[in-house]
Amino acid sequence: MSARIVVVEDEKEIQNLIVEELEDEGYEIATADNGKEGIEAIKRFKPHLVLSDITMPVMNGHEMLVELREKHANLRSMPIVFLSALADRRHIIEGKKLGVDDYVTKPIDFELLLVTIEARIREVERMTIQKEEQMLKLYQSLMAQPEMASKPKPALIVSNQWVDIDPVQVSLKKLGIPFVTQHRGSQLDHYLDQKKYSAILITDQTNDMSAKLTIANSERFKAADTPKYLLLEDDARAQDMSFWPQFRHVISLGKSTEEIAELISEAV
Amino acid sequence: MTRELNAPDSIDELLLQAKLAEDELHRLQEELITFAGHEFRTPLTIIDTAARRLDKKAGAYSPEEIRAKSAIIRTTVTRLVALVERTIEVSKLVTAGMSKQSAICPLKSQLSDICRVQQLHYDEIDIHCDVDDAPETIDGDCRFIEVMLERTVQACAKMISGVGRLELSAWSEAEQVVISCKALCEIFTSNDFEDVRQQLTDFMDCDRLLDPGMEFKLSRFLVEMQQGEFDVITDVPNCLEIEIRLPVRGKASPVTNQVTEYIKTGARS
Repeated sequence: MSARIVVVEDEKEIQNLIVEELEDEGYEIATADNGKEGIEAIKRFKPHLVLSDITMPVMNGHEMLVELREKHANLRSMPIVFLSALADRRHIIEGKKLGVDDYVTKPIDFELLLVTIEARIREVERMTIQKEEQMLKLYQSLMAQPEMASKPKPALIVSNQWVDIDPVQVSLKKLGIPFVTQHRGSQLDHYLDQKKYSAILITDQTNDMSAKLTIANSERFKAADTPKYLLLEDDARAQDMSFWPQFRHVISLGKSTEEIAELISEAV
Repeated sequence: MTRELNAPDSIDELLLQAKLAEDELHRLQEELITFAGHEFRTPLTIIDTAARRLDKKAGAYSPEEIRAKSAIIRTTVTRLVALVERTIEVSKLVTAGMSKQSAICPLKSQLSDICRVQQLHYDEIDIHCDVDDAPETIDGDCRFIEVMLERTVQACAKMISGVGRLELSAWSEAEQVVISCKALCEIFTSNDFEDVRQQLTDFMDCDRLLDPGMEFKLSRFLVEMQQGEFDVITDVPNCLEIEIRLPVRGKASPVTNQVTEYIKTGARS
């Protein structure tokens, strides 16, 4: 899996050199020149981790961190590593108090930076797996209740964890359809083996692969006799639409919950 | 924060003002050291990382790629040397500044020189200089004024990420010379400029040492030591404008000089 990283740095030379190093290690990179552009890049690119300078014009690293943690609920737990020339102990403490996950000082010790990044990404993966297992257990115990026997089968949502899928979840609730949310496209067959679903909804990007790759790698997706929906963010990048016909509907997450509910209810 | 250098009534008041000025000087010296530590790390990071790339990829790089990386290192070394020199210069000025004597500074030609030299440093910025209405000379230490203006121009360039246009203009107004530095950048929206101004205004009023506004804070200190005023203009929508006002003819000497004078002669200057 190639993890995605957003690098926020106003010094172009440093930005380019970091990008070269990280690309050598197999990471997919998006860049931004300040915190404000950084937030846009994060919303668009859905990275696994953000590597950010602190001292930048327009919006500095601290302000970006606070805005991400306070104003973007779905991005609240995204790991952020500060990479800064502010090497004083008090600056490191200030950054950590604000909620930064790690702090690497300049000049960059790349060995340290790379292991820090790997460790943070592994931690997110571990937490995602743990969360998925907990969700499944919770769901199974809920469905084991006798009164739930008559309830409809759940829908399976496979989404990137940083994508705001609230409109879909609200729509499903409105329709009275329970749902299970998972995040790793690579595990689609495993999810489908666990139980029968009333619908499969996949976001354009999952945590570890695109929807296109997810369904191409899956042996069960095609065979599943279940309505399938592709979920797209409004600001999604230029789309490769070749795989869209494999879905019943392509649903924009910018639509109202009524519209989404109507599209889903056609077949579920 | 603006120091009021009103005529004091007693030696106690003079000593108190001198003490405050000294405290301010120490604070600035501390800021300067922290600032230098931060500023040096940036070019060092570029040199170290570029060298690491060369070391790691020497076998895989084409001669052009090797030349490009070497050029980055050499340019950054030049930048680092300039930074060291500038920091030493500012440090000397800040330390010696409290007892600066008045001198004649050829302001008009100095402003033109600053524009010309900074244009060489920032090839992606179009620096425009309009000093026709500026006085030929003002009272003040030349090197002092050069550093404060240079710092202001560089800080404005940094705030627009080194791309765009800088307009440096100067004119006489009553007993003062007004020097305006406007930074314009097409890729910045008026909201971005609003953010930059807000960030800068917040920073100028707080105790935090480091931010992109640090250079402005230092400039402001130098301006105030020349008995001038330093303002971030907030009502211009699509640019960042800094306005510096300096007295054309020398005002009363700084407070430490007044104290020295008082002690020497027993009379208030």
